[in-house]
Amino acid sequence: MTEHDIDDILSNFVQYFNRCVKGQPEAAPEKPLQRAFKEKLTMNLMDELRIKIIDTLNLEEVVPDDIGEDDQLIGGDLGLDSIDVLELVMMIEKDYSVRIDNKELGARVFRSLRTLTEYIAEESPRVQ
Amino acid sequence: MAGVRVFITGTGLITPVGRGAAETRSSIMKGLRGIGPVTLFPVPHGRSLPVGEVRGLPEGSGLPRTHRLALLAAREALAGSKDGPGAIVLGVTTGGMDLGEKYLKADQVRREVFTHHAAGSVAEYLARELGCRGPVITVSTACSSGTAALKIALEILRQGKATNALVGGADSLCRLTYHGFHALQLVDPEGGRPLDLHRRGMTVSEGAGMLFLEAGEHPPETALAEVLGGGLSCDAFHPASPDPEGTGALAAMRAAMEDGGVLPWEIDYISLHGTGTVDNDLSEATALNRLFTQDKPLLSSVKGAFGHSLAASGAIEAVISAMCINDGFVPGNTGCATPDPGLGLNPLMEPVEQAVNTVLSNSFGFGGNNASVVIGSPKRESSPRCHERPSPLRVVGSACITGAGKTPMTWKALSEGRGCHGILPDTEVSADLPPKNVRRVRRLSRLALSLAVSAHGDSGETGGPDAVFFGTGWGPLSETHEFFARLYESGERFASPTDFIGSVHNAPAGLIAIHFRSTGPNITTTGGDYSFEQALMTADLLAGGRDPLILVAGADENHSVLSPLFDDSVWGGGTPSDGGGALCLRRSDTTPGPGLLPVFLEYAGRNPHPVSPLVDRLGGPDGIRERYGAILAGIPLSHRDMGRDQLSRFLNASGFEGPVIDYRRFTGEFASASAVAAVLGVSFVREEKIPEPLCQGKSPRLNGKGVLLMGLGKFVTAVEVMPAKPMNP
Repeated sequence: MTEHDIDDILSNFVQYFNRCVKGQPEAAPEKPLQRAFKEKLTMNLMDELRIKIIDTLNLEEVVPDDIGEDDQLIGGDLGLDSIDVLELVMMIEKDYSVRIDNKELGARVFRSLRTLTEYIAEESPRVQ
Repeated sequence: MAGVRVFITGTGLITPVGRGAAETRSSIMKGLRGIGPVTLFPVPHGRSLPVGEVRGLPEGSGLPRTHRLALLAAREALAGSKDGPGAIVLGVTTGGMDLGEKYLKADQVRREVFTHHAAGSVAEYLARELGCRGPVITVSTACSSGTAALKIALEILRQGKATNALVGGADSLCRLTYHGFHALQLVDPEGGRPLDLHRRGMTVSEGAGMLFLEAGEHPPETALAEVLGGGLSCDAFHPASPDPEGTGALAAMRAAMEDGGVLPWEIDYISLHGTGTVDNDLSEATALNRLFTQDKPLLSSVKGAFGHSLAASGAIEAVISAMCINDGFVPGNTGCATPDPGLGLNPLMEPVEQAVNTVLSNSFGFGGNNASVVIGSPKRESSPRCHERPSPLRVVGSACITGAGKTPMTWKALSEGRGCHGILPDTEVSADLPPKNVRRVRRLSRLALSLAVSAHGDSGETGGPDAVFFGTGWGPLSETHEFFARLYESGERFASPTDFIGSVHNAPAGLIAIHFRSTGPNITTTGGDYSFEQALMTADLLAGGRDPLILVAGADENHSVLSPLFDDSVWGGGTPSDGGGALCLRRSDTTPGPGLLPVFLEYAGRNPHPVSPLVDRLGGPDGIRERYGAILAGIPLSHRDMGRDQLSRFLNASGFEGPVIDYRRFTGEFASASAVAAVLGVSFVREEKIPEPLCQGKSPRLNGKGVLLMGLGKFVTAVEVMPAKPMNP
């Protein structure tokens, strides 16, 4: 974890604390902290995946922001198909130690950048 | 001229279920399955998948498995014949890869170990061992190679280029195909179950199938079956997945039947491509359901028993088809327990003894390559085919890429006497190509597509080419290197599916077909320094129909590691160079443009005097002096002495006195330099002159004569380029 990450988490906590002081209804303090932490990690992972998708699939004309988190990942505007899915499967196993080795799972995981990020965050020993 | 029929008079088989016709038949009737764990090379723990290995193959001194498999099957097929075959057409994809990939893994590499690495080296090895002095062509269209080879051989015999031919396919198991298909998730962990409801993929296997074909008006006593017709097509849909509508497969089957004069209801048995992958079986079934709207013939796939031996499979299945006709049986669809009701097919589950007259055999492959053949009983009523002399091929567009740049820059460099050695940067090669279309391919496919687009642009034609022919000596080396780099770095755990698809020799031609939607024949040939000439000859053999637009290209990339290891001419050849050339052609009497005719292509390794038949073929000394104003001579550095000797014999025999341009001195050394030379020859003829620095002080004017493009060394080849106003041939 970098210094920036810690700063971000602290600032999230401060925001939460302020909201509590202002009397806004919120859940118990542990939960938002965990969520903020997790969200931060997810955001980092999502951005990282954007870059890795572009690099792995040699998408010369695509910039990271072009990959919207809920856009259809395969068969959408990016022009990705089943071969690209397999190339990403390899990258994900190699870089995150997450195996996606059947079609049904693949269809679920590669629905969007968000589903992919969430699955890796959930399954990868390197992210938790 | 009396017409000919083409008969199968000898066959040879070596497969995971047996060696030779008798053993194979017995295995088929018992429903044996030649599938088991891989033993040929180690695979990481937990990653073992079933394969079809040929057991007990005798060791050969430093020879790759493909070569040994091919020779065993070829000797069996030729057992009844006294002389070597008049031609050899072989489908091969892996060549010497089983050894090559092992050497690449080792730290210390000696160049000599790659002598038999090239896919084209298998056919050359057979030509040398069996004493073939005619045309030798290697077809590398992935899994359809063996069947495509049969169609090409059929045309060689029909068109009188030889009176008999050895045709077949061979491929051995290797890490490339094992890990490549695994990375594509196309391998069934339980072994291939073609047409089964629960099928999950194929079983990669190996083997060789060979057929000895003889042309004649009537069946000889030894005839086992007759090759009635062949059909080729391209999906132009996707580099690796079949068109779900099966349109290309349907077109190939229809073309084969039309070529053979056979109607669908006359087919007794269909030997399916039937790999067992979800998509292939679905696509083939869709095509069959479109072809046969009512009752279908008996049908089955043998790949549940034999596995999928890639380039060999089509040839093996053609041999089995001939056996079915000759012996009266039909193989069962081994491996299938519950036929998938979604396919609407009713496969024959168990082998049966039954008379069979006519068989349709299918092979489909990467690059959307489809090939079908129809094989019939020699006793069947059939009329000999008369070959009409076709209209000449006319060049309507051309383009080249060299170290100097694209066509205009190459021409400028040569006119200024600078030569055009070197390697054009990737960015310039791809400058006009849509990044989306080439993002998954590396240098060779980009070279090929750029050449095709430029040649087509030069032609001014609005529609794209119908058929594509591509020659390459070494195939996509960048993808091959990258595939193994990643595989070995990861301890053989990870292989790139994209690089695997891109590494096949026919990937560039498939890309061209997708770009132009070219759904006609799509053939890639490979034979070292003569690959482009093989592509030209194949185009001339296959391009029929009504005035089709044909694209013929040749290209090779220089890979800094692999090219000097594999190619002896590159190793000693000074400035690393690469590139290629492409021609857009029409077969027509009326189209203006230089006429192009591949006249001669013979393996010279066993032939001490290939020059005199060449001189005769070109019309003798008088014909040669009258017709040609210049010779472009291709003499690969690796065979410089042999080539120079052949050239001086040719010049002595013909008395030719015009300029002889030793073009590799200007283009640099690479296997497809002859494709650049062909484009230059076309430019010379169009301009009616030759750039002066190339003329050695002789007259640069062609004075209405043509240019002769010669290939020398291991092969002797000749292609003539004649002025637009045709001279009498």
